[in-house]
Amino acid sequence: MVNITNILISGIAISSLYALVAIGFTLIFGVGGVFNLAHGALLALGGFTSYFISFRYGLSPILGLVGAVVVTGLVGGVLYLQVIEPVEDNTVAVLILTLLAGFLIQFGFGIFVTKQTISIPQIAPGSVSIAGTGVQNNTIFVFVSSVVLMAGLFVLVERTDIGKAIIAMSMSEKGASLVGIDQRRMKLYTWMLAAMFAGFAGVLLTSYQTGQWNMGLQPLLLSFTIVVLGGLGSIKGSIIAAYLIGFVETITTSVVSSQLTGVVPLSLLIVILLVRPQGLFGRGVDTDV
Amino acid sequence: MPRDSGDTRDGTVDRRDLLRSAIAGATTVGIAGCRSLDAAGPAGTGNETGPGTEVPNDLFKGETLKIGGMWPLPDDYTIGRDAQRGAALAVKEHNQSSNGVLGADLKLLNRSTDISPAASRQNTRELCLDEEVDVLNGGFLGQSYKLMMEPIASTQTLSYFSCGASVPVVEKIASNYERHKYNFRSIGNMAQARDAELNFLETAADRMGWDRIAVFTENLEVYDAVADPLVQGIRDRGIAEVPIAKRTSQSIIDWKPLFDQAEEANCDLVCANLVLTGMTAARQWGTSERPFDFGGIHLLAMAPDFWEAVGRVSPGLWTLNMGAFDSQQTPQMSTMQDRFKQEYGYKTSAYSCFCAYDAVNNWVEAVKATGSTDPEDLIPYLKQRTWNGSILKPTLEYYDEDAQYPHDIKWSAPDIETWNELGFPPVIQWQGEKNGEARMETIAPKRAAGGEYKIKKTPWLR
Repeated sequence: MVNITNILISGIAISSLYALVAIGFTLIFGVGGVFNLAHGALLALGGFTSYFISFRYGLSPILGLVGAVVVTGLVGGVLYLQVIEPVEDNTVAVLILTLLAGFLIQFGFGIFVTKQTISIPQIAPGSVSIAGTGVQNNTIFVFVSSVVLMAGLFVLVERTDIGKAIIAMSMSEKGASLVGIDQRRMKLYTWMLAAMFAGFAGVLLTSYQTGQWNMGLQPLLLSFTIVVLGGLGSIKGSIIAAYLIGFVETITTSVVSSQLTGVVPLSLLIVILLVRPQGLFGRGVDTDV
Repeated sequence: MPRDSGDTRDGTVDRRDLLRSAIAGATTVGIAGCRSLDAAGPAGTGNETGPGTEVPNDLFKGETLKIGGMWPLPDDYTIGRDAQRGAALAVKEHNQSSNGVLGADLKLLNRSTDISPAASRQNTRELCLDEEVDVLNGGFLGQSYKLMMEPIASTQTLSYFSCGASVPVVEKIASNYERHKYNFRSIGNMAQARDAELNFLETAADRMGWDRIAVFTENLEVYDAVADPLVQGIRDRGIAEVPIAKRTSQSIIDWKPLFDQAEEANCDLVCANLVLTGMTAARQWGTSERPFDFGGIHLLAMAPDFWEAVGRVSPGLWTLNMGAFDSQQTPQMSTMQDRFKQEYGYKTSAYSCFCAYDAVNNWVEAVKATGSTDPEDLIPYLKQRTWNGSILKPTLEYYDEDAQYPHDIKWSAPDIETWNELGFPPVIQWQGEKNGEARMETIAPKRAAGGEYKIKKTPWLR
């Protein structure tokens, strides 16, 4: 028997997580027009930072989360300034360098930290009952934080000068220069913001399942799928794609076959691209709601 | 000894080979039908030479016998790491004994299978052809080992499949015995594990209140021998109802939908047979404190670092294993654990460690008994021998070529009473912590658990 409430709750939870995983990837592409192949490694960096803070040193998981966001933001900034900026006009070079950076970061964890599985305490332990169904507080935290962060991102790009500058750059770098936007600074902010999102998502992923030094690969593939499915550079598209994938995956697992879980994202991608090659909302950074 | 062409070694025959052959031939005749003698030497060597044979103690004096190790990601993966360490411990023990192996030292040459069929085959070729090892030890995934069997066959190298339980591997041996007779296993196969799991479920169902069991089995070839037959067995033996039985993807990161289904079906136990997704499943079961027990053939839960890796949230999780920290399945098990701890600073529960350790001792005993490293001499001996030096079970014998599982360990416990007497395989349960340390208990069968079942209900279900 199919329990709609459980499917709804599971779908929302996993979709929220997927949206957080992919949003940083979308930002970079929207502004810079490049795929940041170090995105998965930044997710892993978030997970490992939180592991150190909350597990190894026994501090609060909230501190672990904050620390992860700060650290990944800084690393994202360094990555842009030292690695990406010198070659940012060369798309291939950016791809290669971000790929290498991602490998270095992850292999660094494996060599200098551990190759064994890590886990971190839940941000919000315990559970509540919603509509007669037990729901973990951690699940609620994932959903609420996803909504808050997406809303915050929307406010940022729609209502702040920085956000408008980011949108302007995604439309036309020349035009943005002409109106006096400091592109270097905006790109730096974008990379840092994207990395912070990745760090946040990495913490949630690690607390949800467990983590490993090479945990970034699968989320990277998922992010790529979501971004392409949603439309390159479209934040709205990425969020909707994440929810589409999350719900179809949940329904597939619950109703069709649990063996098919892994093929859902790519299958959806193929289907959508055949019908709409530009993705659901393909254009630059676009927050039309 | 001359070998086939293709993946071959140098075909020269020397005096050492002739002498060994003569001794081995006499030994094989002499021990046909012989039974075991008392154990001696490093934990788990067991038999000495059979009656009527005289193998000189210094037959291999000054030589080095090479063991090729094929471990699953020993740098990344506890199962692989502890398998390598188990073999290394056995090698060290023999090298430190008064006479080594008939005067020879052992040398362990390690490679990783990379959990990749191609890498497994390539590394096996290196060990067999370039390094000319005397025996192989290891192998993990069945798909990989089946590829390893080709260079093994071509070079006629004896091999102990010590980290994998795949049934298709032994089916390949049976399909072309003469070509693949060089392969033996030092671990039970998955069909045997399934039967043991059924014994445990039948033992525990009443005392634990398992009237309705959900069975989730990861969609890997190795578990084909478990998935449907286990469900059928549970029903046929009247153990419980099985309202849900599913094969699960290796890509699952959210177990909530499946756990929701088990909960909706009022299941008392989720019997989960998992490899790659085991950590995630265990963690999500533990953090959500589901109203059912959880256990099965759970590979990652066999590892000693499972408790920490999963965040200390899965008290009550049980799994079949080959050994454990405190298992009393054989006297040699506790000796081996003490020595392992002395060497590496911790006790292990990784099944692969026990099996890799046993494989070294298994082979050494055969070499000592036959005075030969030639597989043509060892194979007949191994097929006829009853070995009482195994750390896994009190006596160890192999099925011959006519059996359903040729060259697999003879291991059958058709009823619970026999299983209790045999003490193998043990079932372990993570039971929280004691004095800040993870507590893994051997809970069944009775011999392994110290005379009585020790299974406990999951804490939040008590």
